[in-house]
Amino acid sequence: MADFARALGASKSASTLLVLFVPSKDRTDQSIDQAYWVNQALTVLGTLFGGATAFPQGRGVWRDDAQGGKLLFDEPVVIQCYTGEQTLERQASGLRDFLHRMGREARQGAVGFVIDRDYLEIAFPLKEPTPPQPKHKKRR
Amino acid sequence: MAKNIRRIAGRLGAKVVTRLPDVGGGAFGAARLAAVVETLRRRLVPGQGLRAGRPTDPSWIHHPKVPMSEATERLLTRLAEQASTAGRKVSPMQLAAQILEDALTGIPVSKHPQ
Repeated sequence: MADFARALGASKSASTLLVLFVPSKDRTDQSIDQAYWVNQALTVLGTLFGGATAFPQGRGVWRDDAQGGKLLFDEPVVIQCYTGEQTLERQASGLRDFLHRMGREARQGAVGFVIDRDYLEIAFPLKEPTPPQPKHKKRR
Repeated sequence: MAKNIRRIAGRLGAKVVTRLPDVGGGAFGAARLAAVVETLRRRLVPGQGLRAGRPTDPSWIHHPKVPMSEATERLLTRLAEQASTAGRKVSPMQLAAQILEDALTGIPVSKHPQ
């Protein structure tokens, strides 16, 4: 491949594209604090990989097979981050911590992202609704 | 394309769901098609000898007949015309071969057939 970095006098050349989807709703269709998670994602990607770009909200849908194929519509923010494969491997632990935290704390069925041409998902098990606690009757 | 995608997925605790097609719709699809064409142009080298003929890829030693609809052939012809330049002509079937090879690299093939 032509050495465009040298030809253009660029100091950084990254050939691996990481695309992350930040959802606007949780698995039960309730809104989440998307702005917080976008900010967190940019902070993590900036720290680990040197930069990232968040695009305006789009419209998306995800099929939750654990809920009988229920379609969950939301307005995700897509974040792009250019990096290198070796850097990605080196920083995998930090990225993993963030992706799993977002999935858990934002109550997602899955966190989806793309590395170059591969779509990847981290799936989270469906939590059973907590059964109502029996009321303790006061004994007289 | 990430070479160790399975290893990276494992380290992220993720599963590779699917490989995206090399060419899709819209502006991103157009950009990917441009990459396919650029790869093809680099692969094609002029033939040797007195009657060199059309530039080709030396590794293409078989010329099997591939069935296709008229619509597919028309589309390949149109795309090949767009991919051709004054200095390098790309034929519809050369473009088809490149797209086919790209598609096949994305399909996992079991080493141990059942």
